[in-house]
Amino acid sequence: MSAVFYIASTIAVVAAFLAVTRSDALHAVLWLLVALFGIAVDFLVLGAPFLAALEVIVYAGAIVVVILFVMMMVAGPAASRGQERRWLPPRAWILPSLLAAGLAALAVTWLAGAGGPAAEGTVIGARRVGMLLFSDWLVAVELASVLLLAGLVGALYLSSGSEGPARANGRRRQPWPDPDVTGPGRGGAAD
Amino acid sequence: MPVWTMVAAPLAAGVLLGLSGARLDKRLVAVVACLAVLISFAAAVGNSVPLMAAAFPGLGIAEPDAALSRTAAGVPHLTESLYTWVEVDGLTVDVAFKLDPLAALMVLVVSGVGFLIHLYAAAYMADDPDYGRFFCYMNLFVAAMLTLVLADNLLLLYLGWEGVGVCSYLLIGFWYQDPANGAAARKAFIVTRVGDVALLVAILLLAVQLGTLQLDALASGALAAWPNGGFEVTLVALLLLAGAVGKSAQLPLQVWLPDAMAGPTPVSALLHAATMVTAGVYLIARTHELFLLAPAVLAMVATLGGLTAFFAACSALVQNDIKRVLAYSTISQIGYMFAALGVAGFAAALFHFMTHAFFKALLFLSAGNVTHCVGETDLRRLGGLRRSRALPGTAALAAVGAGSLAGLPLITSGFYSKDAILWATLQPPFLRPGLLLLLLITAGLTSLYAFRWYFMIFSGPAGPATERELHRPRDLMLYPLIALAAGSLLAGFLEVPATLGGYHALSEFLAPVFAAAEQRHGLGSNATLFSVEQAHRAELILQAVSAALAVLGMMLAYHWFIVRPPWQRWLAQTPVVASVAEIMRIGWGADAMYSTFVAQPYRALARRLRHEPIDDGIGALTGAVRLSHYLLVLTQSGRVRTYAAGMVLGALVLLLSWLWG
Amino acid sequence: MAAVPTGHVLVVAVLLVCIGAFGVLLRRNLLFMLLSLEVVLNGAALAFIGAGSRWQQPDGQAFVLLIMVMAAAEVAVGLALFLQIHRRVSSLDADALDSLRG
Repeated sequence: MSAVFYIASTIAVVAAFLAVTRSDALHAVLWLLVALFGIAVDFLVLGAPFLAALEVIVYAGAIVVVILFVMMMVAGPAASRGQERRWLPPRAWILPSLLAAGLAALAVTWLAGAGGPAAEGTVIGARRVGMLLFSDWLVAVELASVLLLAGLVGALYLSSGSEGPARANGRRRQPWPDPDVTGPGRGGAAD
Repeated sequence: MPVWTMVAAPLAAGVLLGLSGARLDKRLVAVVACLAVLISFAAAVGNSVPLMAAAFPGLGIAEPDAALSRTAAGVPHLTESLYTWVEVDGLTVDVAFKLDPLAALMVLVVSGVGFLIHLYAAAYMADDPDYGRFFCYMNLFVAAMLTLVLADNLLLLYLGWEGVGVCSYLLIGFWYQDPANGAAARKAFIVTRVGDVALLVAILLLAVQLGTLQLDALASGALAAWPNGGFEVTLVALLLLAGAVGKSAQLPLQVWLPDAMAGPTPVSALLHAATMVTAGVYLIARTHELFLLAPAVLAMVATLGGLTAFFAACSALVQNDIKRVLAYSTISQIGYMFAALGVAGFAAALFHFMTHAFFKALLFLSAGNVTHCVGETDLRRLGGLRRSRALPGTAALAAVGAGSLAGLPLITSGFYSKDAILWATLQPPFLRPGLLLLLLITAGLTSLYAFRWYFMIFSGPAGPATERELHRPRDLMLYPLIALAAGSLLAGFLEVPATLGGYHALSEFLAPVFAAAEQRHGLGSNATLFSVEQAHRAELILQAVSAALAVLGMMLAYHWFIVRPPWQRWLAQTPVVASVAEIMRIGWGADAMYSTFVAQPYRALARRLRHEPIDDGIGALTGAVRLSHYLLVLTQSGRVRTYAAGMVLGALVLLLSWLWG
Repeated sequence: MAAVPTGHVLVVAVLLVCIGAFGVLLRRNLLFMLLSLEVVLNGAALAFIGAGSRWQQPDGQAFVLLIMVMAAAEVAVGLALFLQIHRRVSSLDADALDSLRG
């Protein structure tokens, strides 16, 4: 079964690299999907079926889809392809390659020989994970829910209004009159 | 009248004139001012009578001796202590005036000549709008000078010293509307300041070391505490000498006196000829005990005096301004006085002081008459004024002055006083034959320039400035000159040398003041150098030589500057003579040297420091911080990618340090 | 299931992280940066799963769950921000957003 791990890992790494380097946004997202699937398989091999499922459902299913939505709203794929190519001249690759390769080389040399027993494929099921979450890690779970709430509210607020949060509230909320504006009609595009 | 009246009268008059002089009628101002000085003179005379009675019992003056006190050394004096001025732990100083023979001589000359000059100035300055201010300053000067002379302790003396310095500044720059006068006044004040600081240090040293500033106590304290030639007494004497050099315009601080001629002529006559510049001579005479304890410094006094006399006489010979000749002459003559002090000829120095006051004031006031009537100060443009209708009297009086300065034999007081100084240089233990030679040469030069001055103004062909109609000087501009001329001729007979009769009134009068010191150091007897007949002959030879020099100088001056034979014209044009004359004319380059070595470096330093280099040093710190800020700000590109790259780089560095650390 | 050496798992995770970092540094478009960040997060998640499997503890999986929660919140807020940015400057150029410069 370890062969599955290596195959899936290879697919994931290659797909990740491709995802990162494509000029076409849609292609990049799709390659990301492939990479995520590969990682999900890895999870499975390492005995985490619950999280493999969650990876597909939450990550590939929700997060990537949301990214797709916004991508469609923001940039037409055809127009963006040319722009992306312009933003990726050869010389832009030098520094990131150096830094990332250096980091990778160091980390790999460091970690490749990490010892101890191998990662077994023994399944650690959802029940055990759930037990842990709602006993020892209860506070973490509550904090995670608060985080989600914050994300929800933030996303709601930031994306509302046709011209931004300022416009969403009507006019700026000031306890004192705006000196630039005279008269009752505190409107107009003066801001 | 009590002694302090001498100071109080001119002081009160000065204050009064200062507050209201501008509003008073000019005649009233003149009366107040002259009267104040006359009161001082009268008080001086009155208080000197008991002293003279003590010195000359044969005069039969029936003054009770009880009015006088005597110091332990037997010096008669009248002392009045007004109040305690300073009382701190370790030092008590009173405002106290002491009139002893030395002070009596000084106050008589100062107030007497001062009175005559005040009378003269009343007429001379009559057209000046600042009449009141002038006499206010003059009276304050007289008050300060008398304070200086009558002071019983060095602190009060220093008060008078500073006072005369301030009045000198105010009077030199009297016509302040012309900035050149202000500059001359500042120069005088600053140069004498150098000496004043030295004097102050000396006073402080004495106060700390001996615990007193009272003059008699200082002398006895120094004798008790300090060995002959010791370090402290040498230092104190050196500082006192520096103070005297500054005030008396001797080498190297002589540069201010020629420029001080920017003041009105009565000021030049009173301050810069007769009285203020002799304060240095008085200081050394007063503290002679300290100087005698420091023979090295005493020798320096004599050397300085001789050199100054010579160099200043050379400069006087080639000046073209009517008053600058007299200024350099004053420097030279005070050099004579210093030379006398340096060989412990104290009486001779003071004798010359008195005669010099007479004839130098006379010369200055005659010059004042000339400038007042003719309006010209350049000697080359004057001439023949003796034959003019306006100035024959002045010419005759100026001739008396010039003759006395030159030391024409037997009839002028200058002859007797100069001879006394020359003879003193041959007295052991301070025998200085080299100094004698220098002073003799200078005497020849003195006669030469004195008569050059006289002939170029009053004799010879009429100069371009004298051809027009001149007005006569006022009466009040002649009478004081007559009195001074009388003094110039007759004062010499107060001290006639043994070879010519032997009448020693002056030295006998002053004797008690210096007796103790002279006895202690074995002075006053020339028996060890010559036998009595040899001494007699030597003195006669000396007198003959100096007389010959005076007469020869007069004749040579006439021939050179008036007759002007062809060989003179040729000689005067040679480059050697012309360039030497030019160097002498600018005072041997003293001003140039001060400018190059003192004034300009100071100004350059001030300019350099104007931008505050110390601040620059601290500014370098802020500059470095700012530079590092500018460098670091480059990393704040505002771009997320740059920051991300930084993070990755940091992670890289951390990993590296973990792996290899 | 067969055992995979822990070191290899970690190597894969590191590679994913580095690829993601590479992407963040390389791309100028904000959306692609976000994508690269997701890759990084997944690399981290894989490392946790591997560790949990090695020690036979559920902690690793629990933590990955929390990572996913965080990723979700981050993407939500981030995308909302991208919408705002696009409305204001009409592009998603990360280099154009440098008003905090200096």
